[in-house]
Amino acid sequence: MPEYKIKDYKATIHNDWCPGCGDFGILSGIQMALADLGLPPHEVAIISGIGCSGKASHYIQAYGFHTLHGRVVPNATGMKLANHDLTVIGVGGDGDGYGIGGGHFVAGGRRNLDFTYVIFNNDIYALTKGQASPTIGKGQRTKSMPEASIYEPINPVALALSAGYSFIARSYALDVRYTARIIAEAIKHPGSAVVDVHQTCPAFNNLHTKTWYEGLDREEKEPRLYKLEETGYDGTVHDPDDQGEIMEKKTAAIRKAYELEEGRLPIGVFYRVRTKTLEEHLLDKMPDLAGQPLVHQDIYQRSLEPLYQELS
Amino acid sequence: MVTEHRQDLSWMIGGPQGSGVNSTAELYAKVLTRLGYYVFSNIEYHSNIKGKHSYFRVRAANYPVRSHTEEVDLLVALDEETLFGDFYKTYPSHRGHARDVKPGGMVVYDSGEIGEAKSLLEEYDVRTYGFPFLEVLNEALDTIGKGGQGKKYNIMNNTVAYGASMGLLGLDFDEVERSVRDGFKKKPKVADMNVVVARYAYEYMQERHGHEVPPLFGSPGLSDRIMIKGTQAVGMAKFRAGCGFQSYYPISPATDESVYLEQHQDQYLMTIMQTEDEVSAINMAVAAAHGGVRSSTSTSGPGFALMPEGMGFASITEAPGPVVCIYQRGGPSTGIPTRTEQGDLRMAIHAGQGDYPLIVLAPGDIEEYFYDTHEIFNLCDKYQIPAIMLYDKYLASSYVSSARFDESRLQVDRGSRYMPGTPNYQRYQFDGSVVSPRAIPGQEGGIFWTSTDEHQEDGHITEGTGNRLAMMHKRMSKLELILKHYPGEKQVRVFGDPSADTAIISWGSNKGAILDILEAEESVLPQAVRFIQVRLMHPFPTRALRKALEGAESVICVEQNWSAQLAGLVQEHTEIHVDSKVLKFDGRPFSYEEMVLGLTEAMTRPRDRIVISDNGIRDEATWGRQEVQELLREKKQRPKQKPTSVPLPPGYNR
Repeated sequence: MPEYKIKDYKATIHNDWCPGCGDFGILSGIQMALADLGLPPHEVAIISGIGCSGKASHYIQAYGFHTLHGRVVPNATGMKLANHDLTVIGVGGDGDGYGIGGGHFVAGGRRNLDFTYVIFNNDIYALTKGQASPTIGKGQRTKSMPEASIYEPINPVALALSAGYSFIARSYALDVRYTARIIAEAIKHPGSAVVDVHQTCPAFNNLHTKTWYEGLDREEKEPRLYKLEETGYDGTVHDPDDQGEIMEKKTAAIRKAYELEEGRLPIGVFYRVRTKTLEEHLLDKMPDLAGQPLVHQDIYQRSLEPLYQELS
Repeated sequence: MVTEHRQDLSWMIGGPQGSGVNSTAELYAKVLTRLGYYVFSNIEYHSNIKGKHSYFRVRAANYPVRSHTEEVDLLVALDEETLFGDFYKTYPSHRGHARDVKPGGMVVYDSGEIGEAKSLLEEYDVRTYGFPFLEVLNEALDTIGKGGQGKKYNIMNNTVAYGASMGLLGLDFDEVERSVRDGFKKKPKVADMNVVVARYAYEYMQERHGHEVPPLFGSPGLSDRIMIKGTQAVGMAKFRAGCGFQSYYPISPATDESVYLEQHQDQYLMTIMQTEDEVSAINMAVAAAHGGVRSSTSTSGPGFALMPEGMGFASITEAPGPVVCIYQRGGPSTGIPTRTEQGDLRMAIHAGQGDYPLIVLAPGDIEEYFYDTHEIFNLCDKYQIPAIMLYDKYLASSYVSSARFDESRLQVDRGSRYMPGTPNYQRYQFDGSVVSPRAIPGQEGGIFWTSTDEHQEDGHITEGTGNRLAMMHKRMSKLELILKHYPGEKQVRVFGDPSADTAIISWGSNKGAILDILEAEESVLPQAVRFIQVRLMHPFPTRALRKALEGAESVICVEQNWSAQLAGLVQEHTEIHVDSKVLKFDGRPFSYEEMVLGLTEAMTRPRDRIVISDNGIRDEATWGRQEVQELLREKKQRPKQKPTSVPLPPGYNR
């Protein structure tokens, strides 16, 4: 088996993100994860939305689909169902995924398709110059916003949990190694995996800066970020048939998700459960799909005789 | 061989939705198909689950029929509304179908249920066969030891009516029984009970009145026919073409197709996704097409209104598809969800921002639904573009008898593909060929990027002016290529006398009634005509249509929409004036009689707008309002009418 290095996943084109953008950290995290897992670049499809993060698919040496605003989940779904041998990774912003694509985000969890969705979460719509996104807190106002937000923010982890994602994690863009580790876990997870990556936007988000995440603005200099596993938290359901354990883990995940509002930002795996994937359900319906993915099946010009029988 | 005189029989069943109108009509149509007749049917129903009035017309003939008629030979009424309209409502909307029965025609109805309004039947010159359904049902049940349980089993009222009407016509009971058993294939016990009831009602009617009705005219003895409706023909074509992916969001009248596909997906390995909305449906289908699988999504107007963004996405990224199937219904907005219209032509050809290539094809009968749907997948692959199939509710839900399709005519062409080992592969390379070889994710050496942003040969974003011109040219040239390669006789089809002075232009399901007129035994129109069926709606077949119109002195365009959407395109592209537009936008398809009326009017008094509704030429500004007022006036003069009730399924009846 050939070994892959990070550079094997780097496309040779100019990157036009702002200097210091958190996107770089997430991009590197994805490339490191792919290298760690040794996935051949041509067996990977990156599906991106619109916005700064949408350009990520162009920067990765893999099949890259820069699709439409908010439509990452449906496109990832169509691609994976066409060829379940592909590793399909969706990438997009918080406005893309939780705002305009909110309905698709929810449906993506319900379906439990085996794919990974990495959300670049910077609280704003950056490419259109910094409007409020669904994750900005009520009453918060970045320098790019004319007024403070008057809407409640979405809690991505809680939303993902109620939508049915079977792997839910949060990371921090500037901790590239940790982000890579979490994304690799997400890719390995059979089922819908979402990784909400908090990122800085040096151009427009003057609230949630590197300084803020690291707590350097606080008197006691206590970082807002901490890693879940370092506190003994275990979000993995070890017996998926145990409804009690599922309930216990979901409840704990929700509690952790809302620490955000208390000024603490846990990162790591909030919840993980092995449940039947969409592909496995489809195999029950169509056992012949087991041999090879749909795209390689010879399904052309099959006899219509059974259908005629039924109609005659 | 003796050529028999042309004969046909128009049978109609009506009743509240949920009372088995559809299933009964399907059984009837199947029997007539199996007996070797030509069959054409039409269903009208409300956007409602139970209770509102629906009716199903089935025309059987000893010669080919492709349209329904206004006149009915035998009416089976499951309720009072079917006979006399909905005058029990605050605002009545129709007068029922007793008035549609031909002089001397027959009416089978439930004399136990129909109250004071019964006397109204005497107004009509019809033979009435009223009998108490419940009593007959009770008597039938008595023969299997369930006497007196008619109320519990009144869901079988339709079987009583079905059996009785078949007894009246004297059709072979073995076929009736076979049809009932087919209808309850998975429930043999229910089938047994229904057969008992059908037989009892059959004999009941035959003993009393069978001798009054002459035997049905002989069938032409067609064999090996199928009974099929539009959604099934489309589904079969998709299976045969190797469409491996279908996405949909439930919507009338498109859902029938997806449900049909789901019933057979395991045999044909089609992955079918019911999505969260139509936006998702089209995006999934685009991605699956890029993924290398033939893909499709089916919807109707309101659903497609959410899809234009995805159309542009498919087109700028040069995806091979998807095939987007629009089953047109009456708009605008939610409109009249279960009624037919041809109002989405302009939306289809103009869907989305900017200029992008797509194909829009509008088949006009069940055969074309099948063959065109099969072929559109080849066109999508060949030109790497999305396509729209414009169907309509009328043919989507019309059962017709048909020969099996000729599958030997069918071929699969997946277009230009990336050959592994090609050095320096670029997905959108400018090599002068317009359509570049496409790689499929997973192929080694084929890695490409694509973007809904304008992009260069390798798929990466660029806003350079030179590249922009080259890419726009590359994509838009596909339209000219299609017009060049897709045969002219498929772009437009000409019927009748191709050199006649009068030309009728139409599209979609209007074809059936027009062809029936052209093939009538005696000429029914004042002039000889050429009929031009426009099939390729986009890119517009200007050259082919000009050729077909050569020498025509007057041009009539027939459409089921308000604004004469095709006529506008004809004028825009060919610069040939359309003299008369025969229009119908009341949500009901043209009947044979209405088509004769509209065309005759256009030939004798040509004018810009000739609006047809309820088998008349209507002043659209005043007639509708008068009609509404007239119904309210009539309501006051009519005997009291009983609102329709729907039988409940067993388990709900007390």
